[in-house]
Amino acid sequence: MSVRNVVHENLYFDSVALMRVAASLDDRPGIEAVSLVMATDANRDVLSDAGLLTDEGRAAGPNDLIVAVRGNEAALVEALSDADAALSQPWSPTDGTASPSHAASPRRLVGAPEGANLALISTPGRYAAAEALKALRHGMHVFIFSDNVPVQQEVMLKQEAHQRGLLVMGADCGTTILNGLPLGFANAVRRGDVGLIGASGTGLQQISTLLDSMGVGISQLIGVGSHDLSAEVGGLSMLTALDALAEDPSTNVIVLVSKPPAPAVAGEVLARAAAAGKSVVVSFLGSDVRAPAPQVVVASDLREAARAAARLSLGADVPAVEAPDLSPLVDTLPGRWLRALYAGGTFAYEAELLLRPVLGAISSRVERYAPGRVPRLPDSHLVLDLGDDVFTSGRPHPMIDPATRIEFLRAAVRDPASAVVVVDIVIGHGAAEDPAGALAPVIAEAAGSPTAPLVLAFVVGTGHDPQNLGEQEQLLRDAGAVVVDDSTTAAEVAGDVLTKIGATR
Amino acid sequence: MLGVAPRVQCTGLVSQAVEHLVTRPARSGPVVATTRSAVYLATDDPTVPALAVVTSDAVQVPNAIVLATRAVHRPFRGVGSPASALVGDGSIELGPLTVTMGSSWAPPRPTIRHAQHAAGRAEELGRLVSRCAVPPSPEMARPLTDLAAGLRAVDRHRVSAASHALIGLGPGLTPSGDDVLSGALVTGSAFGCRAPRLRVAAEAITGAAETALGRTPLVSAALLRHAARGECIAELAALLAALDEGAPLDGPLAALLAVGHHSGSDLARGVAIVLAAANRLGPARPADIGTGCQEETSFVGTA
Repeated sequence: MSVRNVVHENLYFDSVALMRVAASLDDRPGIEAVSLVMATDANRDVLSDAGLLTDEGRAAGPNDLIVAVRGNEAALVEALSDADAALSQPWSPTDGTASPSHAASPRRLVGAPEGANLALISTPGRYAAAEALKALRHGMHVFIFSDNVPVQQEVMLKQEAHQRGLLVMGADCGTTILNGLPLGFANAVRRGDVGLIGASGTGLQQISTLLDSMGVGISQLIGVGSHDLSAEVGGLSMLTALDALAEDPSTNVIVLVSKPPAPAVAGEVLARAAAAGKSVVVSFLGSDVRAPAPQVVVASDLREAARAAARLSLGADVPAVEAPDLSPLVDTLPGRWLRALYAGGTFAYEAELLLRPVLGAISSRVERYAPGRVPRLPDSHLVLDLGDDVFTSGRPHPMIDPATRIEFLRAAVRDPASAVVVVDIVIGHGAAEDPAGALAPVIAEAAGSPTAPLVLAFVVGTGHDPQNLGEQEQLLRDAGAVVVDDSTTAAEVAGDVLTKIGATR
Repeated sequence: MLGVAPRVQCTGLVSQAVEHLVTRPARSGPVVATTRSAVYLATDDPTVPALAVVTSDAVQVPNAIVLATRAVHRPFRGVGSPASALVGDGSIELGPLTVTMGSSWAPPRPTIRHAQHAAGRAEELGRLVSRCAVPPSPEMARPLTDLAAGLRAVDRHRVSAASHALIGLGPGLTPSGDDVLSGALVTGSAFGCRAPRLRVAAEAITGAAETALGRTPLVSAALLRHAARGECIAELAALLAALDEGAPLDGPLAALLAVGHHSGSDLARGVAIVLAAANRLGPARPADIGTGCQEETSFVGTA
């Protein structure tokens, strides 16, 4: 009888696998004893006592596997060969592409091309911060498209970025254009000398496209995320971006846009704007901030912000575009309620802001909404942000997937109580291929009916966007919609028509 | 065909016991073991000498980063051993696999609140274990007997000697002796101040466990460290909870025995040994009553 030990260094198997291999060797003719154990002191003592230890096994360490076999020579060779084969079964570590010299590959961010200085993070929100932190630690600016990132994590990331002289765009950042490179949703706007910074994605898109239509281009467009101007985050990214644009030689005019910031944050941003050394247009919708210095201009709505920036960039007033006079339609409209169905949250916010003083109570919610069921519209004016979580749970944002909005639009145009329906169409990189084309059939279907409401639409985009501004507007007109230039005008026109209806009924 | 293997991305839930290793700046460390359902990495932290990356259907050891994928999907294909991994900054790079840190999970740390009642079920558990568990290998008999006797006699030296003899003893990646000690450590920790007469013996086992590095596979030494802190797998925690709550033992014991080939059996054996000692020692003597046990102390001062 002979004894052989084969030592597999650093080769671990779970117990079940080891027992399976041991069992396959036991009971063979010519084999007297088999043991597969880790080569610990205790186990080597046991093997030694059993006459199963050889010098090879004696030299092994606790992280090594010993295959110890006693039997006749021929059976031993076969058993050890079979043991080797069994230890290379599909569950074994020797399977696949690994080799003993295989080393960990470089980290992906380390392996990024030399000079890469920006990471775009688009993961479920809970994972975004870890990725963003890695990017920051590798010296990269970060654009976080992900939403639902806990605000504490956003603060942590922005503080880390601040210490490193880097910028975090987001979380929940919809749009950015850096040196002409669009990130997230962005429009094909001309290059120029206006730098935009915003906590409102669609607000930034509206102002940048209006500037484009006025012949004014942008230097940079920086989204900072919808929570940046909250008290918790403290405007860390807007302040960093403001400093960057103040230093940027290609930027002459800066535009800041947001829903109302926390008061203390607004104060700090305005103070920094006053010290920027450049003209700054501030549009904090719904906020009553005042310009702290002559070079700071406060604009109360998105259109005014664009016009102010264009005026500062061009050094001349931009001619106002006449809003259509829809007074003749007032007597033909059957209902009395507004149905404003927005994909852009900022547009919904601006509309409420402009229309509440004119129309009084406006509902911003619907009851018992369930996808796939006909929405119940309230017996009141309605302004909806269909990008809100209530409507996007389990499905994409309406800028990408129009299904939810089509349901509401159909309900609105069929509702005899509707007087004016407002829709926004956001085009550009990242948006749906043909958003106007998706809504047009529903508008057209109602257009012939004597109870059809007025459908007011505006398209946020440019002639260079993949969907083409002019073509999208024409589709809506052909379907029977009245197309206006921008969100502010749409709200004003709707308010004007509804005020006249209210005065006559 | 030559070429660069594609990188695979996974998200892992990280045990809070090892979270600090994953969030600190990245460091490289060796892969010490790769199985179909787990990869074990050595660390430079002697209190947590190894961490495990495991599939969702693997046993979730207290030092585990648990992937959302199952072993059948072969997430560790191409992860060699020996090899090195990069751990930190929120992720783990394992050959072609990148594991990004998701949220964390807390490894169970069971507590026995009804000490006397739980200890009173020692015989019931002992019977079930001897009937259902994989029997210990012959070389285990002597140290197991010594451990049990030492615990019953509150004989620190005997417990210590038996514990040292059990370290690294027996088959498996986590040798049987280590698993018995882990079961005993977790049970002792679960009793805590409610069984003060076990404390001296538990300290002796802990002392032995602290010498395990280099005497038993790294993976097993690491799990002993966790056990000394009372951290364990969910199956063991469930058995202790059932003991504590007066619930039937068959179900939780069966689940525990299904862990590994013999690991579950050995863990259960460790529980049974400590429980038997607690039952034999009976109520604490007045001199044993320590301070700081703020919760229910039914095992102290009752007949």
